[in-house]
Amino acid sequence: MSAGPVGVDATAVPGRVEITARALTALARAAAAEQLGVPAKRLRVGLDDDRGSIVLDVTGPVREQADIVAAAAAAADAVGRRVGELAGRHVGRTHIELTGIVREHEGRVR
Amino acid sequence: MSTEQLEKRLRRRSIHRSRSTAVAITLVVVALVAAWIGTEAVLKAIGQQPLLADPQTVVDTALTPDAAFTTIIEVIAAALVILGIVLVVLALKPGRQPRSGIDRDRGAVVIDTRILASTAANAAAHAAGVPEANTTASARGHRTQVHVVPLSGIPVDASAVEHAVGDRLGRLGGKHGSSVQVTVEQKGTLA
Repeated sequence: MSAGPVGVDATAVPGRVEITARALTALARAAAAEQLGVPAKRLRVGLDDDRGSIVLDVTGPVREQADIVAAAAAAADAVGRRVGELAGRHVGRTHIELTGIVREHEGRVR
Repeated sequence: MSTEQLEKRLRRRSIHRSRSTAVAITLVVVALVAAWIGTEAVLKAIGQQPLLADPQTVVDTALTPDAAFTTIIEVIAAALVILGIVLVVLALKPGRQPRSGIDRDRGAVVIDTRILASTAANAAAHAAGVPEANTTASARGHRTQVHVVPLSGIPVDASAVEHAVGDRLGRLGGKHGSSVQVTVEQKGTLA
C-alpha cells in the first residue's frame, strides 16, 4: 500500500502524520543551509507542486570554495534528497539561485 | 404478510417517492368534471336551465370555431398536452429519493446517499494518506465517484483507493461499492 509518507505503513499506526507547508519550508531551508554552508537566515526557500512532486526554489549565497557552480549543482541534488528523506515526500526538482558568496570570517568585528 | 415482505416494502417505500399527491389531484379534477356532466344531464332531463352551460352547446361551439375561439382552444390544448406529459413522466419515472437501503437482519435500514458519499471520502482519504479535506465524493444509487487531491511528493495509487472505497462500502451489503470511480488531481497541495 502506498499510503502515507514513504517508508511508513499507514495501517501500522492509528492516526496520521501531517506536515504543514511552513514546516516543510523550514526543513528545506535548514537542509539548504547545511548543504550550501551558509546561515539559514540568509536563504529564502519557496515550495511548489509540479504534477504531484515538490519543487524547491532556493535563493541565497554559497560558501566560498573552488568550484562554486559544481558545488551549487551538487547542493541542489543533496537538498532535494535530504528533504525527501526527512519529510518522506518525493522531491522533483530543486532550483538554486545564487546571490552571493559567504566568506569564512564574514561579519566579524575587527 | 410476512415480516420479510413488510420490510422489503417499507424499504422500497422509503427509497422511492410516493405518487399519491399526483393521483389525488388528478382524481379530484376528474371527479369534478364527471359531477358537472352528471348534473347538467339531470337538469336537461327534467327540463331545467343548465347550471353553467349545456354540454351539447359547448360541444357545438367547439366544433364550429371562429378565429378568436381557435387561439383560446389552442392555448388550452397546449396546456393539456404539457399536463399530460408531466403526468406520464410522474407515472413512469421510478421517483428515487437520495437514499439507499442496506442489508440488515433486523428491520429495514435506509441511509442517505450523503452518508455513503462521506463514508467513501473517508475511506479514500485513509487509503491515500491525505487529510479528509482533500477528498470529495458523490454517490448516486450504487455509483460512487471519488476525487482525491494528493499531497505533493506522496503519490496516490488510484486503484488502491478504489479498492479501499469499494471494500468499505461493500460492508453495507447489497450492490454498494460495486461501482467506484476514482479521479486523482494532477496538481497536489503542499499540506
